Amino acid sequence: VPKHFHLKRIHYILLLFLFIPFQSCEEEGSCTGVEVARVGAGFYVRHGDIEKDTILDFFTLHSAGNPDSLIYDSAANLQAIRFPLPNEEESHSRFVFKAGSGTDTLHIYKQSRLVLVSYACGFAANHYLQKAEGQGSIIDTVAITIADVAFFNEENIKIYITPAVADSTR
Amino acid sequence: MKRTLKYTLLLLLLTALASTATAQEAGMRMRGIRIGYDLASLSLLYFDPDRMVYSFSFDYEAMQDIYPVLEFGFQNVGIEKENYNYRSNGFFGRAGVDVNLLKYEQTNVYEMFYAGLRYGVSFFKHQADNITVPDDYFEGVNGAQIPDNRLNAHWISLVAGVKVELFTNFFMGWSVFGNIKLAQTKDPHMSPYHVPGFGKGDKRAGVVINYTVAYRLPTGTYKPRKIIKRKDTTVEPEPVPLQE
Repeated sequence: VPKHFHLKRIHYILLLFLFIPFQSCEEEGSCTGVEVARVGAGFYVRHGDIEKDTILDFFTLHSAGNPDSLIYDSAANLQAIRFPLPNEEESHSRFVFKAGSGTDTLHIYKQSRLVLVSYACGFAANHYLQKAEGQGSIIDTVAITIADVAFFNEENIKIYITPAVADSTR
Repeated sequence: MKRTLKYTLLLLLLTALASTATAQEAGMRMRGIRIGYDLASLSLLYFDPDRMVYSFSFDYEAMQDIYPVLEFGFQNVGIEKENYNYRSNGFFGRAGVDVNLLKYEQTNVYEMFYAGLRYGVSFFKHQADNITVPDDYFEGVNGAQIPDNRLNAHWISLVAGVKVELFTNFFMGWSVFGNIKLAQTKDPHMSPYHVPGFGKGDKRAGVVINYTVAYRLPTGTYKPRKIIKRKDTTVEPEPVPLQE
């Protein structure tokens, strides 16, 4: 033992080892599942300058290229819906939109990118809405309120229903 | 052959420097560049095997109790999961000063309890590949890639630690770095797993612990300004009168 090896030094060295377990605090947690980012949409009707939310019955929604896989199937009493978007980087998606006896096509133009949800869970696609519109008898207009489609339960678009359809589907 | 000669000369130089150390004058304090290596990264082999860090430090007792410090290091990250692979590598540098808070009782004591400040900067890149995203409704993502993205980060660190001279010129010590991020370039796809020298990439502040072994090259001595004298409690013997 060196002659200047003080007891105080041994205390310092012991203290060293107290700190090492702190490294474990940086460990990554476990994954409880990755959510898919879905577009939130609300149904509204406009009478002049007055805007009111409205409810649709017998509501059916599916991707235009995917008629056998329904997102909503004759659902009743709906004021808001959530639906997924394709993962392609840039796309124009068409959804068949039925309410009561009417049919429409909802067009969504968007960009997507992969984002890391967490190092435990991995990646998911986030979307950015560029344009949305209807083409048929049910949808009057569509307004984008929050263009970023992420993992929160937000209303991304307002779908304004033609007043006549809004009354007839009730 | 040239390499052997080079190492022999280096060894002779170090021996000569070490002998300077033993020839230290009374009341003088030895100093020289202290080169350190951080052993705390070895704990990553157990706690975070996806990451490896190599970190070196250089300090010098420029004035009594004042040690300018330079630190630099490299980091490699490789994460392989079922649904993605992630790679990152880069380096960091920190510059600052440590102030020894212990009061000397002898000139030849070099142990330190210190506080310090650093400015840190890191340049690194990261990428991900083989990304899989399952999708119940539309076609999922298979084997996608996010190409290399070069990033940098700047931060300040408040440091506290101890250094102990275990043997002449050979030191061990630990230090805790409290890091506060000043700026970091953003990647829209993913936050870095770990910013070299700083800590978690998605955090504004972090704590890093170093556990250093260091060797001081004893290149010189200086006369310290102040020494706190220990109170002498021994009783001086009475002078014995000379017998005629």
